[in-house]
Amino acid sequence: MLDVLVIGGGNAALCAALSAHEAGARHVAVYESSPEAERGGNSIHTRNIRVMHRAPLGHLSESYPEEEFFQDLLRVTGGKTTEPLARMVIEESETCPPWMQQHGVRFQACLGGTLHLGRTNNFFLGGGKALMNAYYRSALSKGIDVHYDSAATELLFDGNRCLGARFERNGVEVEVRAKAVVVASGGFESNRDWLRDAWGPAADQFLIRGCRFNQGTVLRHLIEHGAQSIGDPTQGHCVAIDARAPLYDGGIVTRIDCVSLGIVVNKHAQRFYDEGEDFWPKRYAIWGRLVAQQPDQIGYSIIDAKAQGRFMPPVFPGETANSIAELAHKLGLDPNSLQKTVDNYNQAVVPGTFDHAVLDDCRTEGISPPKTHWAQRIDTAPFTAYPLRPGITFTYLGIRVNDRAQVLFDDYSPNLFAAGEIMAGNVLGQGYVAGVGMTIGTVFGRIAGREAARAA
Amino acid sequence: MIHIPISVLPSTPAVDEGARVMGICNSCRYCEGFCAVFPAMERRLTFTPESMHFLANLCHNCGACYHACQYAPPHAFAIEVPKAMAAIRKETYTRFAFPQALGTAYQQQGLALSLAAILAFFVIFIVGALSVGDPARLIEAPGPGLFYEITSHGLLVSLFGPVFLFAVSAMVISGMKYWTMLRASGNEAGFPLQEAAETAQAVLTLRYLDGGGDGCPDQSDAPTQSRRIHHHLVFYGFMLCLASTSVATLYHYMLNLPAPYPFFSLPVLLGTVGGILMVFGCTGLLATRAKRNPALKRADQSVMDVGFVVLLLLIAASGLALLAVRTTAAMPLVHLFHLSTVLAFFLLMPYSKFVHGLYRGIALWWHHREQRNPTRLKLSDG
Repeated sequence: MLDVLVIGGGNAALCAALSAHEAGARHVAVYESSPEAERGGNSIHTRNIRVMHRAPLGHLSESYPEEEFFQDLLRVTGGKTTEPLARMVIEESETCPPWMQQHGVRFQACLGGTLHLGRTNNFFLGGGKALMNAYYRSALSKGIDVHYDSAATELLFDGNRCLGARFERNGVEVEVRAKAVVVASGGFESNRDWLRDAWGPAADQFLIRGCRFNQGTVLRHLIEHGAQSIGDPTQGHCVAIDARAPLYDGGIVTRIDCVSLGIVVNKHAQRFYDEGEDFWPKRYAIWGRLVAQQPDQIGYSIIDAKAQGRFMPPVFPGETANSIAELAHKLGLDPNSLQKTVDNYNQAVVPGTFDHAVLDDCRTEGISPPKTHWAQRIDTAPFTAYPLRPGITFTYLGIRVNDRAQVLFDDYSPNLFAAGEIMAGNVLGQGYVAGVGMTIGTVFGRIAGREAARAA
Repeated sequence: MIHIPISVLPSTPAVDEGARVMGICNSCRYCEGFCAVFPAMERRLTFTPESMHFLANLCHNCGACYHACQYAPPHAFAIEVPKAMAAIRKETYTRFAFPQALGTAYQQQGLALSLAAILAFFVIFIVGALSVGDPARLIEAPGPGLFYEITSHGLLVSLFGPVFLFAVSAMVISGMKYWTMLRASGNEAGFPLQEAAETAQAVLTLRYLDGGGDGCPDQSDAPTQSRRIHHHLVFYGFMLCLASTSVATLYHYMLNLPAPYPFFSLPVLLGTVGGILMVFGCTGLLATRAKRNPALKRADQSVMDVGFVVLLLLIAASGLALLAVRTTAAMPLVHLFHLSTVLAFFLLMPYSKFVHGLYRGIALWWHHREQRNPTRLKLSDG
């Protein structure tokens, strides 16, 4: 019988396993659904963790006080957070970087193009996969067992007490008993049927930015067994990504960063939202949903030669043409409609001084929707277009927990704990602020592991 | 408007693959902190053959980016930066070789050429030694003159001089061709002192074979300093041997003190320490190479890589053996064998793996110049 069974193989799972071992649990095992080569869940696509700090900390400049972090969270979630848990996550985040370094994680200065995160977010040297590699090495060096290709099918219960779990491993069912269990098995974004239940037929066009293993099996099983859920199944991290991205694991490179430099049209060649409303963080967070609401869930970001070289290079080359009509033809849009949309937009652009670093005075007048900043005429060939689709990063529907990470049924379970995406909705009800998913996963992973060791 | 670089070098499948890989890496940038390749990549939006011959030679094949890559196989993007760069470096070594035909020949038949050169020189030496003086002296303990009783100083100078001059000239020409290509790729202001200092530091400490701090993940994803240490045992051992020869030359011409020298003399001590370092370094490199992750070695380059290290090992080991047997009957043949390995090494130097240091040094120099110039790109995250 195990002391602590950890279900999942991403950041929260490994933090839980390492923390359980530190708290004295001796027989700790991690069951990861993926093969070894794809271990780490969505964490392999991450690149930083948001941490509060009172003074400069490693690569982090100045300070990032608890209250400022909390206000940032409050703003993006529109109040959909659990304040005591959110504040606990923020307070404990300060202790994370040294602990991570003890387990071999290394940090680096913020990456090129992310200067605005240099004060708040601690970047992993080499990104999330390097972080996961360090955690797995640390786990193996401490004698923690890691089982790959082991997808949990159900949890075993005696009332609110969890007895262990069943896994399917290479077509064979395996039953694992443990004194305490941590579920850190992610959300349900890879489960197309569930996405369709939440979003309707639009979900068929969604691309999954993370791994294919987040089927939500454990989440669903827990809810069916009476665990209290928190959050809305349609809420999650959803961004507009290149429509040509692979179905799974497109990760960071599929983002399209030129939305604010041109216009975005739908399949009828009509604009549908203010492309110049705000800077990258907000734009990043809302455009996935905006595209999801368009017919056939497709959009086209269109720029002219003036915008070339001004945005992070996209992974796939854009469609280019020397006239708007030719571009429309290549995109399969109606040339007359696109020409009309571009002409109307160009006529509405008022003169201004272009400055991409501030909310400048380049805007439109007299069209709807307006473009309120960075509006320049689309008049210089060659013209380039990138097709956009909604890309789901992760989902927020989760399991309700307390500050000890205990799963709530009619009462809190004495020995079942949750960490990571499966409970992130407790803190993050909607919206997103960069790096907070890793903060929640790391803090709750450590708490869940420690509490599981105590319960074992 | 952006500056579109014009390419002169032809594209090849290896260069195309490198450009594909860099295109994806440039959208990701997670590996920026590992080495010089990624900051250099970020100054570019398009990847011409020229820029690929530059970036590939910045790559030290440490493997850190491979293990950190979210797009490495089995991902459909199949990103393997170390392999892509190694394939292009191989093309650099032939494309910039002078004369190019010898570079091509070495790439195809490196091992055979090395062995043939050693054997040929060995035969030349024996024939040369036999043609003057008593043949029996090749299998007898030497007299007090030691080496020069076997091969006269004049013979050695007449053989080593031209070979060495040829090798150095060929490499100077190659280096100039490579530098000209880099200069043409961008109009960067020079900072000679800083560039020299930064390049020397990067080379002398092998800074970019440290995987971003903890070492190369050579066998698994666990970082280790083993390759960096062994490489620099060879590097500094080689430098000591070079110093030994230089000091001996000075002794000979300036002080009129011809060889042999006693054990406790500067040339012999430098050579002995250098030889020992090289033997340890080469052995370590060969041993770790055998265990290296397959993603970090290309089958079509093992002959070149292994052949080069084996040749260095032969030089160092035969040199040490010569010291051990220099008053015995084994001395003449060991002496001639050692000379043959050294000559073969110099003759093939411009075409062998030795040139990795040449192109990498120049690429690092250009990299440090670039980094001191502001980027021309106007990427913003607004």
